[in-house]
Amino acid sequence: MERPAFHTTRRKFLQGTTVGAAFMATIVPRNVLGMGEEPPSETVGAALIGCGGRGGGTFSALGKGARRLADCDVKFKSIADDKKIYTDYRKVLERKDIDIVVVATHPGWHALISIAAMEAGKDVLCEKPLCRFIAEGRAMADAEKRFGRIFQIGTYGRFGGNRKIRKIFDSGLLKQCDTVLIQRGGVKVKEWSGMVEYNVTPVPDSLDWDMYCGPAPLRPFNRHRVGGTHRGYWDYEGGGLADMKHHQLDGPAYTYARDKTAPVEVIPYAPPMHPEACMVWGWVELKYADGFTLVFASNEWGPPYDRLNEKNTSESDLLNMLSAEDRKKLDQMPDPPKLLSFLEAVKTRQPAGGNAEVSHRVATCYHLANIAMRCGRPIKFDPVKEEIIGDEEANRLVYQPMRAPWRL
Amino acid sequence: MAVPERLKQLVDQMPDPDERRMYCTNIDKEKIEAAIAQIAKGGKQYILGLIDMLGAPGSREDVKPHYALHCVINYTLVTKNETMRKEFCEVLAQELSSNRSQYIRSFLCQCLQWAGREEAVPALGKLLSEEGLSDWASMALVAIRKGATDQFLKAWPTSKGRCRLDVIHGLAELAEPAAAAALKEALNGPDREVRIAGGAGLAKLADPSAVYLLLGAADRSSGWERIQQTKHCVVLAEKLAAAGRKAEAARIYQHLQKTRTDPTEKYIRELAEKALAS
Repeated sequence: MERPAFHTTRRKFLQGTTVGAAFMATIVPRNVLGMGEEPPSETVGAALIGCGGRGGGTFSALGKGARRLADCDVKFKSIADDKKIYTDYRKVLERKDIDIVVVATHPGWHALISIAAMEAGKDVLCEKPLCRFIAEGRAMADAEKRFGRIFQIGTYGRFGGNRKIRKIFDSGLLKQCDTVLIQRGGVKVKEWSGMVEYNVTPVPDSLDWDMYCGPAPLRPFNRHRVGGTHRGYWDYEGGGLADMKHHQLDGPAYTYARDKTAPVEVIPYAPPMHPEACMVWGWVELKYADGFTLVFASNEWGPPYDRLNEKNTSESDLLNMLSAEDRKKLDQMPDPPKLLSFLEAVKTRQPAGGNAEVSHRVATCYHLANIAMRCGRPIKFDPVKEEIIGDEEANRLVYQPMRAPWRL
Repeated sequence: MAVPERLKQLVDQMPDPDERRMYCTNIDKEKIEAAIAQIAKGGKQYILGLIDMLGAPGSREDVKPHYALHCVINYTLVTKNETMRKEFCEVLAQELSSNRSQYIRSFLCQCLQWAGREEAVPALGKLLSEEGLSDWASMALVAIRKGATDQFLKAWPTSKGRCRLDVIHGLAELAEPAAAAALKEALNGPDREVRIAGGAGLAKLADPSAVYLLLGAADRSSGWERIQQTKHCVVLAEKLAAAGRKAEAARIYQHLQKTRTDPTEKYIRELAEKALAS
């Protein structure tokens, strides 16, 4: 296992670091800058929880300024020393020398670890997708607010969003719109499906299977459930839709201000879904209270989506819906504020561009789509209470019971 | 009981796994739905037959009945046929006490988590003392909610080990007033996770009499437990404030403000100060 050795002094850290064109910034944590907290040491400590797959790449977004003090992964069972290498993230969060936690486990753990990290006073950079179900996303946003921590999801589509269109929606001048935005393909439906027939094999010695499953049911071990193929199981994620949609939707959700609310009606077209393994589906329509319709078409199963045509998505289309007087008012309004990168947010203690609240609203879309398909029926959603209306059993997928001792 | 031939034919209408052993090719929605509707028409006898057809986890013989059973249970919800839903879930519940394998009974719990209601609660409650199934039963009961607290409370006094954790976890999740005494007892127990569950439940319950118990639990603990119990204190304070019990909420915040003096807990102190100022 290769780990870069970071030896960063406070001076070097304050000199800054670049982390890529999308979010070049200087990482200056609160305790180093003395912004309300005393520096615990001359260095900035960070931990990576979930070291396979995207882990190393996500961690590298912190730049060279962060000292990687701990690596935690359930597959380190045979090498864990609880000093630098861990299998239990709770022990990592107890450490007082760690300020930032990078979460790159399977998504069934994203919410619990991110929330616990914020409860422990850490800032969090978490891989996408945000979480496994809607109530987890709400709890992440609540923890972010309650503990005043910085959270950024590991996808950055919104940083390239259209700020002129965002301004139209933010203005409040456009009360209703009949925009239809159709996203076709690109969500790896077949690639990230689960096996319905599989071999049960002994758990590898190096793997803590109980901890891997975590809040999900403890099932017989099947090799396809670990590694990147975990994406194909409802226990840990939500197929290609949950895995890829946060990438695909983050930019449009910012542009069309879909990160301030949630759909009110969801209509699915899919075959009856398997209870554990994600499988093929056709399309889902998600309708908002203001008339905006979002369509996810898989392009991997069933007839091509043709119920609606895309319309009124451009800036000029939307401006045309405003009166001349409203367009003048719009001109006089300030532009939307610049989105802060994770590192800028850590420095300023202002919310990051991809904070938990807005990310939760993005995640709600793909979770609702999956719920409607799994339930095999249209659903109506209350964006304020964040509950499905009049469908007790569908609501069981909004707030899914967890296996003890894990809870939101 | 022999599985009806007609049921076997209908189950065979479910898709075969493809070359990747997935449901990704040759998935015919109409064909599946038609077969599921026919299975549903077969009533309790067919549900029992489907359960009889279930096999070992992941096995070829398990694939189709496993999928069909889930689909037919969901069909009762899609068609909003409450009589059928209840009837089918009663069969599932009844089979929880059979001598079927733990794997099959865990799958029945999962089906009940999906669609069960009060009719399944007593049978699930009985599993709370069975290691290997108590976690499944607990999750199903938490999903069903109505009547579940009584089952958890019934199991609590004699529960041990993993089962005890599943029981207190359920009580904490549901957080009903009847559970207050058990949650308080848990808060002082020997097992860390049981204590944390007790704290979580009392916070969620917004029990004003738990203020000093929770503060004490947080103060005397360290590491992970201190983080969790401190969070529970904050949640309790928020809930009390929202319920108009501002004096009790202020007591929690004042205590946190006074005691969280370590630099690494400054964010808690600041949180308390902000709440007191608002």
